Amino acid sequence: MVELSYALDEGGVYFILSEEIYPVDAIYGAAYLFVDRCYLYLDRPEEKQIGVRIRLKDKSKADEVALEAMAGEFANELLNQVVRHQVTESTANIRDYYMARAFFTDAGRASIDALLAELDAEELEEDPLEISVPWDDAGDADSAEPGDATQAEVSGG
Amino acid sequence: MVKVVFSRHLYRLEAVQAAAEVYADFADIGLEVGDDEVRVTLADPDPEIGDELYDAFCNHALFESIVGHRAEAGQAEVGG
Repeated sequence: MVELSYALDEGGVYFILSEEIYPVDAIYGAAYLFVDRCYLYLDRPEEKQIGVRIRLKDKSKADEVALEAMAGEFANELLNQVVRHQVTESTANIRDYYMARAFFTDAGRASIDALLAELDAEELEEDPLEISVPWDDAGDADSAEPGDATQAEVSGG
Repeated sequence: MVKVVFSRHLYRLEAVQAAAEVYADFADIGLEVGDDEVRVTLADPDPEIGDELYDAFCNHALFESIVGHRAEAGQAEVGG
């Protein structure tokens, strides 16, 4: 069973983290959120390892229960930051694409062109209901003049 | 006198220097800059701060390191 080990000493908690599992960015992210209520110190006990020592600012509350709770909270936040780091890395290309689109595309021109293209496409489509219209010269060569059509409607009563 | 060693892999030199400037009025602070480490000595601390000087100094250096790291990463992403 793999555990995130830590030690309680001198009123604080000491983690040794593998940099291969917990990137520096993730450790920074977690540390940033604890710096207001804890004292933190980072070191490198060995290559590819980062040591994190955390002490509560309020030493009067630094009993074993409180330190264990703080250790658990920090471990959870570490995991959260690792996930955020992985998502950031995996979506980097998509983010770059959309940023490039946003900054280097003329939005106004693009929307007008899109509208015109949409209108052209509608005009080229065949009318599935085959409703004849007065301005459709391509439909019926013997089609009556618009005025004649009107007379027919009136006489038909 | 208290001695602190900051790994340059984790703490930015500018951040440690910034912390030294901030706390210069509260102790005699010496910096020794190496390739991999910055060694800081905190001597004659202000009695009003006492033991907290060491912790506060470390926090300040860490905070400034994180902020500087993120600023640099943000610039790199934008391409600036």
